[in-house]
Amino acid sequence: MELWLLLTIDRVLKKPAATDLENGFELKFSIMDINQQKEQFSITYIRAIASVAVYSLYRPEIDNDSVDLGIISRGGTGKIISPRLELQLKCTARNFLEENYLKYPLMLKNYNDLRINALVPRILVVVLVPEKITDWIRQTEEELCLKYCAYWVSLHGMPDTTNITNVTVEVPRINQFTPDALQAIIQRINYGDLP
Amino acid sequence: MKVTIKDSQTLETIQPDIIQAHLEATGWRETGRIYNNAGAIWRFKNDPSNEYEILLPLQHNLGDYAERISDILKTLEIVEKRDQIDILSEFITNYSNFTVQGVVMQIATPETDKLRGEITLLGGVFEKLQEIKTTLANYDYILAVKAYQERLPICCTGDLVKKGNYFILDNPQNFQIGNLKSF
Repeated sequence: MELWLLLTIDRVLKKPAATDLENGFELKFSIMDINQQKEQFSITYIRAIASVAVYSLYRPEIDNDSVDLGIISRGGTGKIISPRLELQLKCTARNFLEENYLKYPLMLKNYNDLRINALVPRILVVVLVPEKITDWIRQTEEELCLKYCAYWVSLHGMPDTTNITNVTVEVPRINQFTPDALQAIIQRINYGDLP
Repeated sequence: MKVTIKDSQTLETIQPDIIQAHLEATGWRETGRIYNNAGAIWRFKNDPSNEYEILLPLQHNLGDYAERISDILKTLEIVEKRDQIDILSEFITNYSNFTVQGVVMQIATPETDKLRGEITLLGGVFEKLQEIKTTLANYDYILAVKAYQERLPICCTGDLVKKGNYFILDNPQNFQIGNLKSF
């Protein structure tokens, strides 16, 4: 597991070219922009959670800007054999945390795409990371720690809005995206319920 | 070569009742409905250890209508061991603002009181050659006759509707001689 995560992270950071090595450590991160790094890191985070929960990931083939990743379970025993969940992933280093909620300014298109009916339920997952990229992971011989935490919320059935660019959504801090939480969501979908 | 249909506009033109009829005819069975009849669950077992599942969207306003139709094409591609394009061309029953490229196969005699008549085209509909009937008038009709006599390729835009084993191109517009590439 650790090795597999490391390999993924290695791919995220990419190996520096020889000239980069000559120019020093800082250039190591210049190959990929910060948004791509955040995307890759949050995908890796979700992959780690999904693999512990014994689910697979898939990338949607139709690009609609509001689904970044899908999670599929095989061998469901309820109404649906292969229950699935689709995720809009956001990764932020800004401190949106309040006492009970994380308040995230979501783009209007994403908000509307996540609140309407879908046969495969969609949720928003916000991955909170430290500001300094080198703090995103902590590794020792005992552990590989991904920082900080991912939270989820379903916007299904949320009201229409008159906002024109963003909608600030409240993601409950209690909704931590853990393997147990993911399994509970998939179980509900398995029985034909919403996340 | 495996071709995956990713064009959501094309996928959204496919009607659920057409897929439902296909599933019924090919041994699938509906096992339930989800989300207040927004979708139906269909299953197919080709051997005791392998069961396939399809989520058929029943409402066009679903946020993932195109995605779920794409899933269905992928599943049927595996089950039926044929191309998605092949399956898609069976499912397409109407397509607005479709541009046909092909040749004129047949020209019906014009009507007695006006220069207008039925034209039969042979053109590509999602990579398959199909017979397409349309009605052209005046200058377009004359162009069609010229294309027929001189064996020239044509293109024409209209609303495609499937009728049995052929298509009808309603509201034909922009009938031109030549391939799209040449314009």
